Amino acid sequence: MNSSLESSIKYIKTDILVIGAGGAGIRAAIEAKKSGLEVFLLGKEVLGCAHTGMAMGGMNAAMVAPATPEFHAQITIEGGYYINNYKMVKVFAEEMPARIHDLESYGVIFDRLDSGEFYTWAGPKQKYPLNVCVGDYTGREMMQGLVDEARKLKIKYTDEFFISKLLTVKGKIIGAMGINIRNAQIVVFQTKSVILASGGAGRMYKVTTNAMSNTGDGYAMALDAGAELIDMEMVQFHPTGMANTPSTLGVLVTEKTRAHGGILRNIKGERFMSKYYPVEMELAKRDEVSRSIYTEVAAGLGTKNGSVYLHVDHWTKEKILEIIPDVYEQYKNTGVDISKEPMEIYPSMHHMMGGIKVDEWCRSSIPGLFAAGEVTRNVHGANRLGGNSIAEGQVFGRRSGISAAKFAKKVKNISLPKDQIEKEQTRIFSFINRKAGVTPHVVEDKLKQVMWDKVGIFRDEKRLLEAKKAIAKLKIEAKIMKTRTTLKERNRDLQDCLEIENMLITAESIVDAAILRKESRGAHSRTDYPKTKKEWEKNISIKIVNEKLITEIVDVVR
Amino acid sequence: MKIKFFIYRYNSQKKEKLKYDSFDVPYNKGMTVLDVITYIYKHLDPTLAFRYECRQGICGTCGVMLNKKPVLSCSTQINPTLETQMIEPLANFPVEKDLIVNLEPILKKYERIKPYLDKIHKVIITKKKSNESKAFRKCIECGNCIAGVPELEKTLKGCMDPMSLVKIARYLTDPRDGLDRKAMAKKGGIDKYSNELGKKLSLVCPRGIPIDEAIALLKK
Repeated sequence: MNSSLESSIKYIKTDILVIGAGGAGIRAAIEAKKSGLEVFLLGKEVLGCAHTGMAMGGMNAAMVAPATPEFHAQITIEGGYYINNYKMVKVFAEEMPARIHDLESYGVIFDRLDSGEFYTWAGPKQKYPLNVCVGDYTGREMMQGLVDEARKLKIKYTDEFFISKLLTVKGKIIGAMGINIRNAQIVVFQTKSVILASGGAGRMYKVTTNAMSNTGDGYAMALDAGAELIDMEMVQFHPTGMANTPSTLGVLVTEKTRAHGGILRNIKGERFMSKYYPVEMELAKRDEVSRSIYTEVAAGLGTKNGSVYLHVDHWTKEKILEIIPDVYEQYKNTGVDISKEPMEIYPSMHHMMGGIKVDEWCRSSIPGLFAAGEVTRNVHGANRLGGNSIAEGQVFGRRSGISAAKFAKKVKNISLPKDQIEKEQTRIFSFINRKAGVTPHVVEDKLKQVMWDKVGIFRDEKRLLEAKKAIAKLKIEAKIMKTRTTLKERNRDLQDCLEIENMLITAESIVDAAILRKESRGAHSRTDYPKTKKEWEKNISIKIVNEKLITEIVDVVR
Repeated sequence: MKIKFFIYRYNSQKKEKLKYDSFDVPYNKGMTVLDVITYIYKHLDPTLAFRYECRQGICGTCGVMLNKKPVLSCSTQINPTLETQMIEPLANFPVEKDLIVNLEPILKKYERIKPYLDKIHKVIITKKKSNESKAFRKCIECGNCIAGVPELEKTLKGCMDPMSLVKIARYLTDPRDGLDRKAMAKKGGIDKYSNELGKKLSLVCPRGIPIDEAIALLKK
């Protein structure tokens, strides 16, 4: 190791490190801070701009009778096809109302009725409405409340910082390291506990609702550190992503639209959901509506853009602006007035139901590592109900903060593993230093195509095996990625290289689990195994042993 | 068809001289400012620095000046009738690199107005009460309003910026907040914000926040 390079590392000591500044991460930092310990919050993007803010329609909580936490738990498990972690679902549903009140104490104001009661609306399966909301920008107002509270509590943070590796000593997490995106400065954090709240992995798909930062960093780093992941094959496609211009391909159109009377039609004007789910119609579950749209377009009943229509042009403009003002704006910005013409939509990769194996106190399978939010497997099982994602981030964000603080109080800082730090530093700079190699976005674009074509809404063994082969090849290509500039300041290629490696290992874990699950359940639809099988009411665990991904079928936690 | 884009280039960490690079970018119908920027980064110049996240107009991180006007680059389509155009970082912010501004000085000032719910009263919030602050709660801290007032460095020197103003109005209209937000606004120089400027700012805001109404409320 070049000694001048090594001396350029910056070291920071803290008690609790929170990686990821979305809904779960900030909530974790707020809670951890209450312990009196030192907390450090890191986010890849500018504070407040995390993917949580892209959530539109609402969040589920039993705020208004006749909805109860028991009902919330029950439909979450039914919606998840019975492979959810039941213990987590129970605490999630029970604690949600209190978390809504927390958010309001941070400044958020959920929409109300004249009486002061919460305005609620019913998503799929919600016989009793559970969604509380702020217009159709619930996530953004929630983020703003969390950011306001973090500022009030003076939580220490660095934004635009990229953690690339968790540091371990004898199988325990003792810190993490990464680069400041502004200047490629390497920083090593020495900590007593780490909370991973780094979100999902949408960017590995060609069409996604996700923000750019969702590159599966948490899954990749957790695997690398020896942690177990669960049910990675469960990838949710939101039925309604924008599909009228390439610039906005996949951008979310909230479920709130269909829940308030939005109607899906094919090119012939047929209300096609009546063919597939005549009772639930547009409000069938997300996996069901996505498959229906896919089937229509595949049968040649889509538009020239390969989409179907979502109509609200039978609503009054007043209703549109009241219920879905941002959807209106999104289309207006592309030259479409949704009060006069239909939206073009198509399913878009939306959410990872699988993730790091944690228990109801957010403990992973390795000491010192806690996790919350989309990066975990948790409450959603094989299909997430709309409104449950930003919700569970609040419950488990808080719980991870409590757990990580409790753990940190019991341990001492352990000296840093020099070899791991040197190796990671070499890996990071190898992308800049090597003389020639592959341009990162070339690898990324190939991966996006593979995932979209072969690991999508419908799957089969042949295409999954092709995907496995393609990913293996891309992993070799990725080893020789080379940044097109050697600049240290804002080297986007360097960030891309690190993110692509994370996306590739995440993709590999999705494909391996998808090959193993020989049935159809929720978001995992196998055309070669179309039935849901009772014997598959199981989870698939995946971890790295001797540098190889190993899958195992395990019992559901009940 | 190609459009010539002049792009602002500067690297504060190298203290280089500011320059404008020109790039010819093929135009496609419906193309956004962000498409232009990512095209240049991908095909013409990998050193170009810029921010974006959501493509949904909601994260607030992709603000730039398009032909001297602040816009969110992901939500703004290119006008193909202009043969040459210019993309610059948000005005009234120090530039870190190329299209990326340094947010720190603005956020430091922002802290002074206590941009959070404080000294909380317990109040039952009705639809009516909720609606009073609703428009002001839509702020995504994109900084476009700040970039949209040339007066900021002149007649408004020493005053609070419009993003702070909106936040103060947001908490003034929140019945739970216990701070004297009007006094705060007065101290921040609200009187120097004219109605006319407020109207201009309302048009600049990509979230459609009625900044003129915020000014009127704070002056009352």
